[in-house]
Amino acid sequence: MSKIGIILTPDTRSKAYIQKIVNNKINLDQIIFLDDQRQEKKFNDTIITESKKCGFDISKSVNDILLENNIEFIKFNFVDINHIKLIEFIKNSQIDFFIFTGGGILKKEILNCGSKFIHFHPGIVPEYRGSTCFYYSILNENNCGVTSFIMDENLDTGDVIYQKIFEKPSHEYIDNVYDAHIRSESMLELFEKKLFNNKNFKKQNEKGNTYFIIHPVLKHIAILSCILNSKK
Amino acid sequence: MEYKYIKNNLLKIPEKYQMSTFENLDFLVSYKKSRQSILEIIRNNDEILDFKDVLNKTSILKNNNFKNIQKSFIETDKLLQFLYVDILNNQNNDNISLDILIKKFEIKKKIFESYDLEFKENTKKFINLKNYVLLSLICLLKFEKTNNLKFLNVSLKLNDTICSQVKTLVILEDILIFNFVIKKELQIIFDLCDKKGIINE
Repeated sequence: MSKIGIILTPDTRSKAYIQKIVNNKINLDQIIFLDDQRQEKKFNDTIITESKKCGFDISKSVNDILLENNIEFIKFNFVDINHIKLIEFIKNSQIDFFIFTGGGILKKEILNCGSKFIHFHPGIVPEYRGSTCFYYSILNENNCGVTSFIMDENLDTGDVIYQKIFEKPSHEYIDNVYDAHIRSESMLELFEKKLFNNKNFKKQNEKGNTYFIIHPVLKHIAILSCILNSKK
Repeated sequence: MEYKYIKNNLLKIPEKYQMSTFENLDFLVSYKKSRQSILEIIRNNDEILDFKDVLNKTSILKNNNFKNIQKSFIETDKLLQFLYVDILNNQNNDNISLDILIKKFEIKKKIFESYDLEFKENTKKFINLKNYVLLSLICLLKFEKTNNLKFLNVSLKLNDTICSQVKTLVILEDILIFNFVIKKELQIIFDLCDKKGIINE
């Protein structure tokens, strides 16, 4: 059996991941919380309600969830995944896989420290690599996908563990709620299907599409197409 | 509502577009109005009718000697003119240069006037709007040929940048091309709205 850990950061994605882990009684071998003590973002009642429909409460901080549920965790006062202190800790952790909820590029030092890092990317790779892929996917495919993969030194090019297509949302809170929801649901499937124990992950085709942050005009068309179609 | 993405000089204060807020249908109305007011500013007696007509009404074809000049650096405007003709004629042999220029603009929000042969900027000059207009034109042409939204996306950002500095767009040929680019952008965006069932007055 593989040893599994998670690296949390103080953001909405981590809120969804940790709440679903708690609600589904998933036991992890290591929980790391990278907390730079940033101010908690406030959300209005509509977003909170929408997040609850998706199985998590966006108004609850990661720290509170961990404390309320008496979960053992180790905390660092930075959010940099490539931080030397984190690398040293992970080297001695004997964890096979860490779920990393944040984004960005992992440097050689952390990639070579013994553990593998799993990322849930909101796009079906190699066609949807890069940023804000869910919006491009809504516009092109009328749905969204999530790919879980083993992180490597490049952006969204790692070996694929699992891919899943989700229906597009019927609300506008895609950045804060829907994104966190589909990624965390994919994480649950990895646990349900015990995919961590399958070591033969699929290599990606090098050719693909890398997208950059979506322009607000295209973002509005994508969101409006979700909202208007759900009203019909 | 005002279309806020062209209010600042985007060459000085680049717009990152990160976590942009959703403002419903009113946003698309304000975008359309803003672009239409830009068209009023760059109104011209002459008009480019389609992508092929760009070659009839500009000096792009005449200046298309990029591959014949052996140089130790890349002149961006020459490369862009070459790429336009190349893509228009379906030669499309140089996807790499276009991808690099797009990536460079998406990250730095600037197009430098020249690069070394490894595509590192070798000048600090980046305010020549001609390069932004040409790259936007190429990206819209690429979108028309491939339907790949990454090209439309970068064109929208380039056009915001140019719109934010439209008063400094003084060369007649650049104005003529930009007029065509904005009309084309509006047509593509509202075709996409139609396709997605979004009614825009």
